[in-house]
Amino acid sequence: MLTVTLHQTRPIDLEATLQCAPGELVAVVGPSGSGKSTLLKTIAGLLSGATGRVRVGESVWLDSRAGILVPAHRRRVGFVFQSYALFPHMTVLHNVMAAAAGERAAREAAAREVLAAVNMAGLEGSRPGALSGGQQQRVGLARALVRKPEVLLLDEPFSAVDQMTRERLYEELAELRANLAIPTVLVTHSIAEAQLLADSMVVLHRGRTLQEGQPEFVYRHPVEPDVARLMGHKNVFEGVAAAAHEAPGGVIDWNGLRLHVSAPLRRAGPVAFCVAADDVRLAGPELTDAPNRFEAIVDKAIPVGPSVMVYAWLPNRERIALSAPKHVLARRGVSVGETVLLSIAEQDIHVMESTPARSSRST
Amino acid sequence: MMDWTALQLSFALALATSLVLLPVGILLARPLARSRSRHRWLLEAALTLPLVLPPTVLGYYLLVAMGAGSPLGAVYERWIGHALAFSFEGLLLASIVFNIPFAMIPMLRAFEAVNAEVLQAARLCGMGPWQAFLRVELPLCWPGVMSGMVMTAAHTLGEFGVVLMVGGNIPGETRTVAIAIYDRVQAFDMHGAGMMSAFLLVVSLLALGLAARQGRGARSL
Repeated sequence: MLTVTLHQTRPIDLEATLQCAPGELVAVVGPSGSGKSTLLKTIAGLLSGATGRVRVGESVWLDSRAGILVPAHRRRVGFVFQSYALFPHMTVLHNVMAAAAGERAAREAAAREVLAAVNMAGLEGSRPGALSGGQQQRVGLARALVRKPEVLLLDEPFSAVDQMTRERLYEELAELRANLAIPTVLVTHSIAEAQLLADSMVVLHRGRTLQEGQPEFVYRHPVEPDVARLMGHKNVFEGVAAAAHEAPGGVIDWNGLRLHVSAPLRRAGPVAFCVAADDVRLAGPELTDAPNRFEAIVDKAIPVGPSVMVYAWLPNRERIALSAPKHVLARRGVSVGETVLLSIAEQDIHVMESTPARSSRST
Repeated sequence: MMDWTALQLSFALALATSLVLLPVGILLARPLARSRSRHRWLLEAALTLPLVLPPTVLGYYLLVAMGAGSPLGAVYERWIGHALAFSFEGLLLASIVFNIPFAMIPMLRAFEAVNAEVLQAARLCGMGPWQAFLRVELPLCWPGVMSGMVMTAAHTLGEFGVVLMVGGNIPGETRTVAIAIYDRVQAFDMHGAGMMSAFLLVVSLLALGLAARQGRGARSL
């Protein structure tokens, strides 16, 4: 089990906690400059500005209270860099051997074995400069694994390779993981990557861990507007919760529109909420008595793959996004400037209770 | 006629200067390359000063610093038994000082060019600071280090102003080949001056060619 609690004020703020079980892959996601790499490099011991604790199984790598700070080269960390960071003056084989332990023959055998495992057999004699990005990253992964690490740390390992290579590497990583009984932490700015690869994710923003959980759960239940926006939600709004007695759910005054929600509102007052764009529906004239039906004027319609992202102005001067398949929009005759009827199911509105102080800082 | 004594002296001086500046250059260049200090430019400027200062100005200050009236000169004379100025040792010290930028700048650029993550990777491969330096950083900087050495040697062979100021013109002690050429011309021995000049020209050209090749090696890494 990897447990991390870090606190730092310089050079950047960090207030992060993270837990990762053996065999588990935790993705740390956040925008550029959110402190993801700093967090990862602090776990590895490459940066030493933070106080707190880093523990892996029985080993304590950092415990600022007890005065423990194990130097990077004594931590058994497998680290894969975004820039590959291979040794350019060594061959592929020597790059991997450099991280292996033991006698020369044993190191060479271990290096060859792990190179074969990442599909790099036959290229042992090449220099890194002669390899493609994907091949270099495989060598980087082999070098990280040959050390028999206690944790595997991946720092945006796929962001420098092309899309096709990336997808192949995803599959290879998923395969490798099946045989890895160590905690793996993946830093990425791609929510899609986290959803694809991770068992659990940690959302980092301005150095603070805002939420931990399974990717799908975090997407559906962000704890605050920053998380919602980071997860790609386009409809993140603020309103005022009415008094909580309107059971079973509640009502939010959304700049003059009454919005019924099925989740109970814990207290009256300012509240933030979000709705997934594919949960905003084009309503037909038939469901006249359903709540949360609004007229809206279509502002923009942007085709995105098989769907169209439609932005529409509501009577309360908020702009809402909805995503619908192209054929549905064509059948309804939705076009820019037209008025459409939208509906939002009560249970699809996710209310974020822990707001407004934090949301006011969001960008 | 070729002044073989002067040539020999010049080569000895060039070799000794290069050998001293190999560790000194690395010791100066590496921390400077890694420094994030706001005052880094000041130190870099100070170390580069010999590059732009007239050799006579530098020579003057070195002469003053080595003279019997200076603490350095006095201590040296008391311990060794002869004056530092106008001796080979004094010449060597001057040569080291005025060659610092020639040795350091190529090394500085080489250390700066090493990807910081490659060095971090070395640590995470289990290499301690020394091992990481010797197995990864130094090999990557080696072309720059060699280039600094070659530049230093070539520059030492050709230096005139500082040598004349600090060393004077003592055969076998401080008369370098550059001074010898000047001497030949003063004595209207144009043939001898021409021979030595041509020799120095060829050696300098070879040295610069070698440095350029090393530099290209560095870029291809």
